[in-house]
Amino acid sequence: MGYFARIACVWLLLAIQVKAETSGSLEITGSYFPKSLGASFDTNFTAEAKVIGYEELDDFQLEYEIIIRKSLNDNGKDIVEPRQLFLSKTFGDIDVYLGYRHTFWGVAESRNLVDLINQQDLAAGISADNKLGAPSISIETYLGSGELQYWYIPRFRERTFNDANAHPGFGMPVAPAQFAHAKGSKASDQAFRYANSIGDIEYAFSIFDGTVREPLFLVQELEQPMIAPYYEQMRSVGLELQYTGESILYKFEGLTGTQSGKDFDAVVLGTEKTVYTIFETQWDMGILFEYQYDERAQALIDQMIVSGVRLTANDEFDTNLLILYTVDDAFSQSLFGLEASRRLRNGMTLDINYLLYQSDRQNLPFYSLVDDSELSFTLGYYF
Amino acid sequence: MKSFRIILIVLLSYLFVGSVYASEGKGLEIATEVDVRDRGFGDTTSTMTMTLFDQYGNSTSRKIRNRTLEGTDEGDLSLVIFDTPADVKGTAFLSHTKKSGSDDQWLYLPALKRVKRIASSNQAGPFMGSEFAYEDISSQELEKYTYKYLRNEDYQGLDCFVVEYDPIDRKSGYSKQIVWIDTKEYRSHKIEFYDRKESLLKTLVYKNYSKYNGKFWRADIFEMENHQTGKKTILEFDDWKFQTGLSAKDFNKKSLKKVR
Repeated sequence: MGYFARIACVWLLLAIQVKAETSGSLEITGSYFPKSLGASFDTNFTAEAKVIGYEELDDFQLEYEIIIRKSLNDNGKDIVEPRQLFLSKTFGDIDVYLGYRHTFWGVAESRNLVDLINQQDLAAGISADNKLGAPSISIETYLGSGELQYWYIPRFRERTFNDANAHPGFGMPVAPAQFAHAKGSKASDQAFRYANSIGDIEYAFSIFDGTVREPLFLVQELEQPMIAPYYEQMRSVGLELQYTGESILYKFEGLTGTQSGKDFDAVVLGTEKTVYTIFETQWDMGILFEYQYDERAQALIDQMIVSGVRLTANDEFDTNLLILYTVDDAFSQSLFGLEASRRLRNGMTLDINYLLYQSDRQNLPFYSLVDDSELSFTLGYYF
Repeated sequence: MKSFRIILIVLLSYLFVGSVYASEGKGLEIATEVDVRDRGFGDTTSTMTMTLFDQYGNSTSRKIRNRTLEGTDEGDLSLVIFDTPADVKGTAFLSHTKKSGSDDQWLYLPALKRVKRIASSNQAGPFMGSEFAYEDISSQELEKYTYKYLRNEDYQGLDCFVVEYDPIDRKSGYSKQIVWIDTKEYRSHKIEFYDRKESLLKTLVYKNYSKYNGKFWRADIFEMENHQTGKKTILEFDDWKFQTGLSAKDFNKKSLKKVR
């Protein structure tokens, strides 16, 4: 963290020197864990500041998005993160980027298998939207009417984890990570992606060769038990498809390849049907259904079924509500998730999140998460 | 006597049907002339302040930038970028208008760096919580309506054609639109929108027209009033620029991610 903090400070100073145009946000989150057990806390507060800027320099563009987060009871959440901190330059149709970057690949709602560039900032929350910047050299250009990207990521970033007694916590300290690759965190990744659309179909094809973002976990019995993340190597091919009908979406994400010598397949299939102006109001209602299959060792559960409802008020406050219910194929463990958000007034928002884990038996993966069920309120101020 | 009555009915019905055809023909001629006079604008950029008023007069504003590229074979391409409210700053909406069928639409969410293709049958739905529906702000292609000339009428000292626009698409939120178009410059000055139950829903008034590049008229103020809810939205345009050199590459998914 000290390393990133230093880089962030230098770049922020630089940005101020060149009078970059900045915006950002300050969010305060209060969390309540109604089923908290043992040494865990049952309430927590977290503050997160984000500074976003862009500046045209003489020969380059400078772009940054720095996140500073501090939590009252969970040091695992504390971070100074350059989610974006890069220089870019355009040569004709070719854009070249150097530095920490954040991107998104995928089409599905509940899980994006092909979204492999950024490591997840898991300590921030279970949403994969929380990402760590990828230290990279990347090139984007057109190939015909489509878009081609190439990424070279010379250094691996480890996933962030909450404290041992936090929510969710391992109940034991996290040991230094171990790697399948002899170069460890200095092993590089490479990735390509080509994306285009034909009429109502969006498609993308991608290749990844590098360190897996999701670790396996090894328990080490040293002086005290510790848990060590173990990152394997992966070569994979990804495919994304989305058909957009007049009020229906069909989505497919597939990943196939080899992880540490073992072949694997993983798939997300989904659909979302939207009904507009329900009950003669301005509200829209989306009905979602997704199926997840992942045979890799890091997947907690092989098969998951996700169903959900999205309500959009179409009002001046951008009020919306998303409810997702995720259950395994035996219907024995589940996660109920609710996300609601609304603008209170210009520049100020309120988000309410609720996560409820349920498990029938002690030997199921979600059983250990039941006490991490959480109700949180986030007040955001944007400038 | 009976045969005379039949002849009279036949004659009258011919006259009636004929006049309907005549009014349809004239309505289409007027709408075509409106379209022809705006052809060749190439591309435009403008900034816009959207102010939403609720039924009690409370207001909130947002700032938006617009970029439009005139379509050749298909409809226009348009890009809308939100500068405020601050929590949606950088959100961009890209639309490729189709002369028939649904438009292609994408949304860019800057916090996630995600471009989402979105279903577009939502044309009757409100745009950003305003009194404007998506179909009101999307480009007005000739092929989207049938037309009926109703009458000539004075509107604020200008002689105007009053023309009924009937949406072809059944997903439109309107049964008809009544449009006041001045006979000299073929500019729209007022539109009455009727809901699917044929009740007056909204009235849009265009104000402060200026002529750009010696040919293209643009109004600086659009006032949309919803008669059924008492809410109102005012769009104030500023900084209209024509033929700025935009091309199709500025209106694709890749460009969405680079929007400033």
